[in-house]
Amino acid sequence: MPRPSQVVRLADDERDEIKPLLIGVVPHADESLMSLVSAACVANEHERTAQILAFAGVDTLRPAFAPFTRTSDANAIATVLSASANDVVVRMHPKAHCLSAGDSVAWYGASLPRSFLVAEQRRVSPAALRASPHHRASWMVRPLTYCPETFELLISSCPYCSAKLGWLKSIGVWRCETCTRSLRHHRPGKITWSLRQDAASVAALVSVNAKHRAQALARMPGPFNQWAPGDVFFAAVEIGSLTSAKQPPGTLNAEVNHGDFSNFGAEDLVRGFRALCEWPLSLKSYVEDNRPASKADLHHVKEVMGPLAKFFSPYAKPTPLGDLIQSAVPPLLHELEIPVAHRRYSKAEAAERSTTMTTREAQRHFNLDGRSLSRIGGIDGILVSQRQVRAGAKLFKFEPLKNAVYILRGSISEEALAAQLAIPPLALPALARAGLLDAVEHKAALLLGGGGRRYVTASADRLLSALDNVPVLTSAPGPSLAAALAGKFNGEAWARALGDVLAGKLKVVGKRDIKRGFARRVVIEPKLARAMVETLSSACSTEWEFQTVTSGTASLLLGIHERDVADAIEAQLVEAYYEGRGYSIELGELVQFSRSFMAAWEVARRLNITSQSARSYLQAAGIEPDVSLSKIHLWRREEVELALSVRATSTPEFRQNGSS
Amino acid sequence: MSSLDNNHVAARIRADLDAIVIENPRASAAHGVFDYLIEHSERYSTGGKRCVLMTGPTQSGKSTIIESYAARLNTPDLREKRQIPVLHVVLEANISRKGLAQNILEALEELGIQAGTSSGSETILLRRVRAYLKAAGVKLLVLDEFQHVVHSDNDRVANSVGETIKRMLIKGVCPIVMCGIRGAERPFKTNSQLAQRAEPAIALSPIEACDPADAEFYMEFLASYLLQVEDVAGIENATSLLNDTTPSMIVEVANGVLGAACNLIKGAVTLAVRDGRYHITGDDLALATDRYFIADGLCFRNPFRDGFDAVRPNQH
Repeated sequence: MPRPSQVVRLADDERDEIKPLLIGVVPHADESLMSLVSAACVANEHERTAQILAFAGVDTLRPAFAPFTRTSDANAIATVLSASANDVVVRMHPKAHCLSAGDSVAWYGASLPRSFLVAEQRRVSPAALRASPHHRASWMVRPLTYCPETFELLISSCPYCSAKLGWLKSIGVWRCETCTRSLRHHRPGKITWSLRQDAASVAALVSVNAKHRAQALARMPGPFNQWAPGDVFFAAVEIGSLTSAKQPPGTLNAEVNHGDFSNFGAEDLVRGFRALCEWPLSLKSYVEDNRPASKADLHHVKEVMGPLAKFFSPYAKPTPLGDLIQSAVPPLLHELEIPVAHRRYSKAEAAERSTTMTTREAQRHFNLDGRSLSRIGGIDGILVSQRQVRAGAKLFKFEPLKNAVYILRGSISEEALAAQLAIPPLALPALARAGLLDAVEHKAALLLGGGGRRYVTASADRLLSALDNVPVLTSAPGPSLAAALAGKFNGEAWARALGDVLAGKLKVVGKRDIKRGFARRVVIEPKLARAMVETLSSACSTEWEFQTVTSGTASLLLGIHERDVADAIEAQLVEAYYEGRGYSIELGELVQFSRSFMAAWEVARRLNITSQSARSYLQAAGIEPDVSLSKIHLWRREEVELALSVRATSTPEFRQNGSS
Repeated sequence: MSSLDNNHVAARIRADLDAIVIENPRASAAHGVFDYLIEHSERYSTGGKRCVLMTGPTQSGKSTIIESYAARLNTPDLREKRQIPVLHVVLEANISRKGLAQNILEALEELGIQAGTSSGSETILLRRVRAYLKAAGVKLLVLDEFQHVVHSDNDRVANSVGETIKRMLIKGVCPIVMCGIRGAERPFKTNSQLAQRAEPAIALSPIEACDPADAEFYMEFLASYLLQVEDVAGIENATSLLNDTTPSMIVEVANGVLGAACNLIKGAVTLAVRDGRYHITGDDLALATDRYFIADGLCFRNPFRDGFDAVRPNQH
């Protein structure tokens, strides 16, 4: 077994067997490796480029692929060509890492997708060959259909015999190896003047000179100037091919992705490059130009983005361009108020939103539930999309939504405020009309809050504070304000009573130590209470709106315990509907109940006696309770009225839909 | 010292003796002609070049003359620049046009250049030869063993090779020296165009012992050579061979050919060294004559054993 040193010596010996050609080549800076091989071929009177490579130990039938596949033989090739190893190594294209494409190769210190480089085909610019008869490496770049030096269109076949130009035989890159005629006299035409400046700039991105690439990159706007030049060039090709007018849309891109650049022209490349230079305005104008004509609430991403929708495919390979578009498009669509149903559409962070936000973002940002947000779906000016197909598909305008949430947070619900005041909620609008409360008029805020009436928290606090600060003049027995107002189905009556309390017209003679709301807590002077009731009965005749109340409100309005209300409902004296959390009772039912029955406390209030005395009085009058509920007995109002010789005109004022 | 060691020493000494080159009037004259050809070529760079034929029997010093000339011009610094002023090509037997080109390219490959001898057609190869001769800065192309052209399979081939050489001269690549034994001059005789482009032939004829000029030249050469043998091989009594009739015996064995005379001395030295001696005896010369000349049929009489024969005209 040979020792390692012997193996090394053997390898050195083998390398020594490679001899240089007598006539070496002096590479031009922009010259391709096959051009060097071809030049060596011509100078040393060899017919086939494969022979030159064979001298280096590279036995191949397809020499044009040697720069891509035989990178390990770079030193040997350099020896044969009498060139420096670096001159050869830099001209080879081993596999490299490129973010934009999986199959990538090295390109003069940068990297490019492998499909962007042509190997076997020899593309030349006759004008450039007239200047210097060597093959420019930039001619290998497939998307460059022109020579960056002369702007002449590249030819890949002989204009005289139509034979394909290749690398197998070489009698000089400037001559057709089939008919041997010089290509330098042909004039295939040049790209238009309007394209040339940008055509040179985009070609500089794939220049063989690293400094030129860096300069070209520095001229690009962000974020492209932070990318690798190869990725920017790839992006220009992608955008150019995707935005091509060739029908159907995306066809050219599909061809390009399959390595077919036959329909890809300089105008396509320049268009893509200009789109990058004008980023992100170019993307915005693209989206605006592609804005769907239909007024559908939700558009498919393909409908809006056209061929660019490929970047939103779940199968799309991650590329810098893809990532950029995926992050840039959703905010842009939001800004342009174009709703798109797509998974990735809602993935962008809320921080990127400018004027709109998705349901999910709104929920997270404002701590709202989906149901609340769904209520404002029909309001113009807030919601861009009204149809909810998938999570994140709804679009809300940020500012109006924020305003609505702000108002919502600064308001108190009708029920909560009514509970604090211990008055029926239906009295609150009257309080608002009286200027004691500020009602929330903002429709979106009301809907976000559940749809019911709401009042500005500050005004409610002000009212409650004022009521709490009402002085207690004397400590005397009497009914609570709530009890005094029982049977009053007019909100204005309750509002006016509170107003009188605040104005001092209704004397507060005591406060109970309970936490069941103001009206239940304060005790008013009995005479004033009776006067108030009479006054309110004649003054307050505002029509009640048709509405339903809870059993709690019913208890307040009827002046009976809530459990008695429940018993009345159970005894079918009052018709009510059970709605999950409690009963919902039509106000008319309560009025009817009030008209039909009378409690002892009402008799007592009429006669200015105690309830116990009132019950004794009715019993002595031979009137028996008609209904007995949990805590109270109810008498037929007609019978009691008759017994008291009281006219029925004192029935509660109530008119519903014209009936009274 | 063992016989094995003696053999090693003998081999080394023989190699050193083979490297001895003696400046002599014949070589100088030949070099002069070569210089003339090169000078002419440089002066008349755009036109056709000239050639010269150098003939002589085997071991007459043709190759030595060429190698010494090449050693003078092919300096190491030029070699580094891959410049080969004198390209010495040894032609193969049955040479054809393609073979001629391949032989020239092989000569280049021996100098460390990838010439692609087997790559391409005859036309391509000849074109490459012209390109390479120009690129390598070849000032003088020496085609050794030129008689192989004459001795080709058929006359047509021989003529075509001759025509090719003539074309190379007309095309003005570089002057050419053609070396060979008897018969090498035939293309010059049959191709007048080639003859008109040739300088008078350099004939390295054998020494005529009866010719005083040749005898003087021979003695001077032998003296110089034996001094070199003493210096190089450490033979103590090499110059003693100049005494008495030994030089004449050497000439007789060598048939007047200087190279053969040198070989006889080399053989005698080798035998002495193998025997562990550093001085030559008459027996060494006799034994060398037997082994290297009589055995090969180059000589039919051993004067060192049979005695000096009377002076007689050279058989050539």
